Amino acid sequence: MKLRKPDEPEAVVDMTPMIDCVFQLLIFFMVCATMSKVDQTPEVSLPIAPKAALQEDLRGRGVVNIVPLGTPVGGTATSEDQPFIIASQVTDEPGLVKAISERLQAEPNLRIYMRVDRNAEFKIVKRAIRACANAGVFDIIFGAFQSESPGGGT
Amino acid sequence: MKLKHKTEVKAEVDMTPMIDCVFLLLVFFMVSSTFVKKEADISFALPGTAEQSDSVDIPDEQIIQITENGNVFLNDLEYDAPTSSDMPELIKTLILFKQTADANKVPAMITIAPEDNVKQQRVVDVLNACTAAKIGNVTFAVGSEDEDG
Repeated sequence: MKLRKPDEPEAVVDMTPMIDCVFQLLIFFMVCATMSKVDQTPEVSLPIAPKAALQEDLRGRGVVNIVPLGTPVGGTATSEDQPFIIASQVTDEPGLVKAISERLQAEPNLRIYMRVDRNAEFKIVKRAIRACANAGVFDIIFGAFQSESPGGGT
Repeated sequence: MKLKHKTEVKAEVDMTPMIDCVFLLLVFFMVSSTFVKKEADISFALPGTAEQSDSVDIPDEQIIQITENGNVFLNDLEYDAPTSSDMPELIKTLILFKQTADANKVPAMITIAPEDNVKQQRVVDVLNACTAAKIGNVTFAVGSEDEDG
């Protein structure tokens, strides 16, 4: 006697919704990574300020990095003559004024975001503030971490 | 004559390598975004083009001086120990100053005058105290280039 095989439905896992979700997550993290890409010199160890506000509007910012004198950055050590770092390049005061002025022409609402190392001396910061004033920028922001913990959260 | 049907090959796209790649990318971006420590802002504004030597007298302007050793003076009175980073005495005084200024309907203004060798962490400690007292008008006395010699 010929036995008839029962129809076995083929077990198929529909991957489409999972792939959709994964793509959404991928795009989200890629966009976040692009947005948070600023001129960050890794040698800068920012000071701690628990009351500092987390960054929300990153538009129209020019970044100036300041490290303690003698710290090597990109093969060149910072010195009294060249204490500022813009786009990983060590520069002097006229160079800083020039860079800020050029950026100011492209962005009239420019704000200067100073990433100053916690051990840097104020005399260097003072020169950077003066350079900002000479270039015509009066809005300045100091970078800080809210806490020492990883992630810098509160 | 019976014609044999051509065997039809079912076209299937193998998604496995693509999903593998996408997962790797996803994990990479998730991990790298976690490692980036979030930075925060402490903002201040320079008083226009005027430098300290040219500044006008503002009744509710207070000057905070910071010495090389980290001592903080407000109107020549010392506040908190040089090792104190949370500065409770200064914050208390600044809150009172802010309340008085608000009551008189004038803006509370702070000028910070650190010495040359003061570390940035100490400057930020004072800025943090100003933020805690909700004083937004903070500026720095940087003097003119001639004063630096």
